[in-house]
Amino acid sequence: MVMGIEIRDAASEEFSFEKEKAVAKKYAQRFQWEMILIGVGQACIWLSLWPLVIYEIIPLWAGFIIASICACMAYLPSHEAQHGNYSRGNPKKRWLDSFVGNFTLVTLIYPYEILRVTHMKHHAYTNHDDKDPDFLTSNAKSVVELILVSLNGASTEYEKAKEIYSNDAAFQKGFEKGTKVALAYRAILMLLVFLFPLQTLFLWWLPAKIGTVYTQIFFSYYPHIGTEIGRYKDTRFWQHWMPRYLNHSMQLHFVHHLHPNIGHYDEPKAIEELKPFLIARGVPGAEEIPEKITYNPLIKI
Amino acid sequence: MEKILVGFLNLNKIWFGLIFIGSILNAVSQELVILNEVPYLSSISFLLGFVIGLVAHIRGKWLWV
Repeated sequence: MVMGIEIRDAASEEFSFEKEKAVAKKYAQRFQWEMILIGVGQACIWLSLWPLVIYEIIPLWAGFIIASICACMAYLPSHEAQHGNYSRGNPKKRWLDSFVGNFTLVTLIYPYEILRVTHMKHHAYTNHDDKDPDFLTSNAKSVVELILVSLNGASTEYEKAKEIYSNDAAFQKGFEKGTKVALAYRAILMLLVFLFPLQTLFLWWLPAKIGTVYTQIFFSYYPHIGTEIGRYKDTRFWQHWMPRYLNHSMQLHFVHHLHPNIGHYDEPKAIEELKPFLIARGVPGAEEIPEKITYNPLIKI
Repeated sequence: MEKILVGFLNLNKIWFGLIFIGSILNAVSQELVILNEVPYLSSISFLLGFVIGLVAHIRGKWLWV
């Protein structure tokens, strides 16, 4: 309710929250088939690497490169599932969120349920140092610091989130469910490393680390550098030397924070239409959003 | 049973060092010709992995920075 008053005060009637929501809703309808293809596809390719490498059909170094690419592609399909963007509120399709969300993360060795519940809290409390489970990575001082935090393991922060949300029954239920998956992953990893040590290192553990660092740099760090607390202030539009097709278009992540149900591949068109609203609300970097986002690589050197 | 599991998980860095790092060190050392004559190579590899895990457990983190 307080947020509603702030929003009404912040912008004129022309750019009302209701109108903004109506525009966003248009882009939050489509079935996200591309994301399912990417999620399931990369996990299948990754699984196929094991027999290919063990039977020496392809060399380990080639397997390592392919596995690392798979790991970098693994998070986003799960992220759409975390927001229920496959089922779109249809209870009969919820299995799809759960299936894609879990299956795609096998490459990253992360439990879907823990990521889901902590990600919901990240959206609710973005940039709150005590309540945002991603605070350490999204507010790191540099990319190097972020890499070091990531390599030291993010489990401590997840444990901290479990304590902070100890009174949130839904959070705890999801966390417990995810913990069992995490234990299963750990047991499988230990068994595999004993049987196939170098294959496990180069097909699973190292690619998962690379994928995790990649995800945290582009999904967490760059979109939130120097931003504040507040619906229109906590994520920014940014540009980079890297074409957006190589970093999952995370330059556009701010619109996801405003309207998480907009499908990832529909974000460019949604932003084109929402641009006047974003400028009126003072979204960081909104003035620099080009008129045409679709097919624009958004390179800035 | 739960207490045993919690105790086991509290030592996760030690287990990781012993099993994961130990296995990797063992596999790498088997490939290095220069170490072919070293006795108890596997035991040394797993012991080294255990020590790395133990140090990480005591320090509470893996990296030195």
